[in-house]
Parts: sequence; C-alpha cells; structure tokens
Amino acid sequence: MSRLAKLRADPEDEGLRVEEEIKSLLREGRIREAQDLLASAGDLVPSGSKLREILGPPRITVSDLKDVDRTPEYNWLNEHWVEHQGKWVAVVGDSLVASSSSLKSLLAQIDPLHFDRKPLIHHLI
Amino acid sequence: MLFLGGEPFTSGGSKFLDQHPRFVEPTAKVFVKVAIPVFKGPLMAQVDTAAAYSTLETDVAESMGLFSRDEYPTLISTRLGTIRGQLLRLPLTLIAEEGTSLNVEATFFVSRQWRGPMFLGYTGLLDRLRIALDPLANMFFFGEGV
Repeated sequence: MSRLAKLRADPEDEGLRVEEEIKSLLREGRIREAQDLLASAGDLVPSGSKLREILGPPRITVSDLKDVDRTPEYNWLNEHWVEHQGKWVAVVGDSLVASSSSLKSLLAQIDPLHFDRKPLIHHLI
Repeated sequence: MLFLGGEPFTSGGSKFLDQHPRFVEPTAKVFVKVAIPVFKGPLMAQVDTAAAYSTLETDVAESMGLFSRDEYPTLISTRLGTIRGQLLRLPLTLIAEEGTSLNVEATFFVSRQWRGPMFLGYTGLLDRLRIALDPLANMFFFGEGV
C-alpha cells in the first residue's frame, strides 16, 4: 500500500496527516519525495496552504527596477580581492565606499551615505 | 530581448561576473546581480544549475532576521557534508541593464551552517526561467518560462 493510500485509509484528519507526513519527509531531507507526495495529495492539502507555497514553483512578475553596467565594480573586485579578503565590501564604480568583516556593520556604514549609483555589495570570503 | 524561432525567449539581460575572486580554481562561475528588498544595493548570486535548491548566504539571512523563523526544517547534502537548515519563501529581483527585470518569489534553503555564497539553484527557480549566456559579452539573459 502506498504512503498516500495508507493515509487515505484513516478517516480522521487526512489532510493534517498528509501535511505532517510531508513535513516529516522535509525534516529528513527528502524534498523530492515531499514534493511528490504533495502533488499526489490533491484536495487533502488546501490550495492556500503554506506547504504548497514552500514546495511550489516560484512566482515571477515584471519589475521596473533597473541597474547600470557594473563592469567597473567587477574590475575592482578582481583587482582588489586579496587586500580585502574575508570582508564584506560596497563598491561604486571603481571605488570602494565601505568595507567590514560583518554585513551588519557594512550596511550601517553605507546607510547614511548617498550615491549616484547604488553600491554593489559583496562578500570576499 | 532574445528571440527563438521568431518568438521572444528572454526579456532582460545584465552583465555577469565570471572570474569571481573567491574561487581560485579554473572552473568558471557565473555570478549575476540580484536585488533583495532590505539591501541598499545589488548583491551577487551564483547561477548554479547543479544546485538542487537556491541557498541564501548566512550573513544575508542573518541581516534579514530569518533565523528567528523555523517553519520548515530540512537537510541538504553538500560536498562538505549534510547541513541542517530550513526552507523559506523569499523575494528577490533579477536586475536587468537591458530590457525588463523580474521579481522572483522562490524557496530558499537557509542555514547557519552554510559557508558558501548565495546560489540560484535549478529546482524551484531556474527551472521556471528561460536563461541564456553570451560568454563573449559576459551577458546573462533571462525571461519568464512559459
């Protein structure tokens, strides 16, 4: 008897049982099996379930956001990574504007600053 | 915008970084720009078609306050061993320099044990996009899958 068939055989709270079974598979790292069980569960797991969202496809929409060509920032990263290795950096054009060993600190440094173009934030581990 | 068979294939494009300084090795990596709402500028994420899931860099997750949530714990196997974390639904934007950017709300693996960069993985993200690379121009093209 399949995993789902066993669950359907129990008249009590089938939906909850299926959801718990899927979560159990996730806890074991069996993500693909969790997705397969969810796909075969039909109405037992409601369409608005958070589980369906977590295991479901991405939602894609158009954005008005635009960025500039970051070639100068990429060149800076390639040329200066050794001296800033291990740091989080914020780079604007060919200039470093902030550097820190923690992202939190870096964000605090750049927060009050104003830039013509947004800084590219990166971690040089 | 790229066309395939006369039909639009991708809607946006941006330059990618392929000689990432973090990896002193001969294999190529493709890093693209993404915007995450709480950050003041774009971050770099590695496009990895071999990665089962998208993964958020630990410091980024920490800055977003994501470790206070523990809704869908799971395990993933990495080349450094199995690590524990959780699955979370997060929004980001693939930012275009040419054409149209895309908002993508997708599932990410988040873990304090993760020591790698942000990955845009195949399952649950790249498998719903159309992507193309022009290595000669270092351009990454993307569009919504149909």
